[in-house]
Amino acid sequence: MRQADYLIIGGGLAGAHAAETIRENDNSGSIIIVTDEKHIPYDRVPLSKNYLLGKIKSEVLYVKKPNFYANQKIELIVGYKATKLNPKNHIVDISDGTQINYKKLLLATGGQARRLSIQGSDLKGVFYLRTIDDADAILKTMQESKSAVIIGGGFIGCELASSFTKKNISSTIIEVGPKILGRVFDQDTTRWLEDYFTRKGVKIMTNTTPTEIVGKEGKVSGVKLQSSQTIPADFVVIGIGIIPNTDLAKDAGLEIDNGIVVNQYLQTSDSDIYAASDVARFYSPVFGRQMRLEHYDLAIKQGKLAGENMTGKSKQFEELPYFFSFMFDVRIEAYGDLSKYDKMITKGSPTENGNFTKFYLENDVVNAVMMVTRKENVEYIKQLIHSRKKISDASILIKEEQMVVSKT
Amino acid sequence: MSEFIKVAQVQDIPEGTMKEVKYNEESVCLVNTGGKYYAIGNVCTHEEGPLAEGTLDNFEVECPWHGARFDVRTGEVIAPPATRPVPRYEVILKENDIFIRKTEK
Repeated sequence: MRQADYLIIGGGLAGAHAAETIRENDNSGSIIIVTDEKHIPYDRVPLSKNYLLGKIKSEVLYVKKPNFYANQKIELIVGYKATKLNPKNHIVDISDGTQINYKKLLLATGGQARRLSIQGSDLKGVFYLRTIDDADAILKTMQESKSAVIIGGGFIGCELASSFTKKNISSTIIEVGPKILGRVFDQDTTRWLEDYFTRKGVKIMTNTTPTEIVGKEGKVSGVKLQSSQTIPADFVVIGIGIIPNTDLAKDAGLEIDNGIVVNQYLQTSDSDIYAASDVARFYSPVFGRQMRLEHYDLAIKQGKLAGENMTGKSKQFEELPYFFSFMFDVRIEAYGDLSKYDKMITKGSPTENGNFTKFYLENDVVNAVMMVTRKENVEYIKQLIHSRKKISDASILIKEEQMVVSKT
Repeated sequence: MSEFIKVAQVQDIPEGTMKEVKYNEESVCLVNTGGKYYAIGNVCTHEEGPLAEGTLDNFEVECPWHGARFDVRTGEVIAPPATRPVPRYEVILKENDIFIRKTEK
């Protein structure tokens, strides 16, 4: 049996950053990262954007260069899966047949693309996007394609539509809900985004349910809708969210609730096991509730914090959620929790590429701030949300000078 | 005041391209846009992406990792997710040689 002071399952952003932080805090403890992908830890975020646009090679996606791991004495087990976790004996079984006895364990197992089970979803030319290998397969198909249907109008779907359109592939987004990105943004913003995408040449079909992916000789030729209309397509990408990879933790008896439940220290129901990023349902002291998020920024910050706490610290995860996305010439970023608000204040008025900011308030407390191709004083915004103070006169938020003066 | 250091020759960096050079230990993104040379820090202030491997559009460089944009003339942030500027370097040409030095704040 092998021994590891620190064992990390998962080769994404959280896993790699945890390993780095552990090394910064413990220069002699043994660290092993296990990843079931055939790549060293990499960043998925550019896959739907710059990677599919052909702007970067896969090496550029690596979180750390290959020699980093050897230099830092971090062992990588690449291409094998953790198959069983025994918390009582502190043992993880690996699919190469070995067992690892850990002192502290981090589950950064991420998620997998949610599958759409309709007829024809196994045809050639139907893709999901989660890994470099997925992206490479899409890239190859893009070169011989003129049209695409994207099922799902979330971030992945919208970013793909932008990348495909830039590569002269005419794109249709099919979304079952009433708006693209409707589960993320307010109606005002989604309406603006829909207009924007339409202006850029993307066809958007909302309130639309796909019933079958149709094909010829085993290859995709289009998507059939509930209305029995068929949208022709050379290929189809399905982006309907991810399912957190909780099986290992669940079978081990750890507490699960749409993700592995962790406390504010990112500790699971077993105090020697931590979880971070996409797979973790964590407690936010700022918002006083549990959340599970799939954001770049969170993956890094939770990875680092879990790593630190695994070395003996007890730091709370107090960071605000932050995400960003690019589509065509629009850049969207948001701080805080956009899921709860009863009032919305808009600063600026939408121009060609956006240039507006929205404040989301609940009971006069700012929960989130979103910027669409607009710069604000980020420190002020973070403070505003962190403070949990009631804003009696919300018009103060849209005053330009306020944003500048209230710097820390 | 810091010293000028020779970092490249003009033939190393054709118009519309970028190249990573070293200024002492610092990684620097050397830019030729429209026949004019600029130099800014090569390490994106968001998550340390390599700017010279990104894309150059007139005076804007876009980080290949997450699309943060910087003005090559000033180092200032043009687009998120970066929030802090990258350092800026002065560039001078002596015949075919390109020299840079760090601009004091």
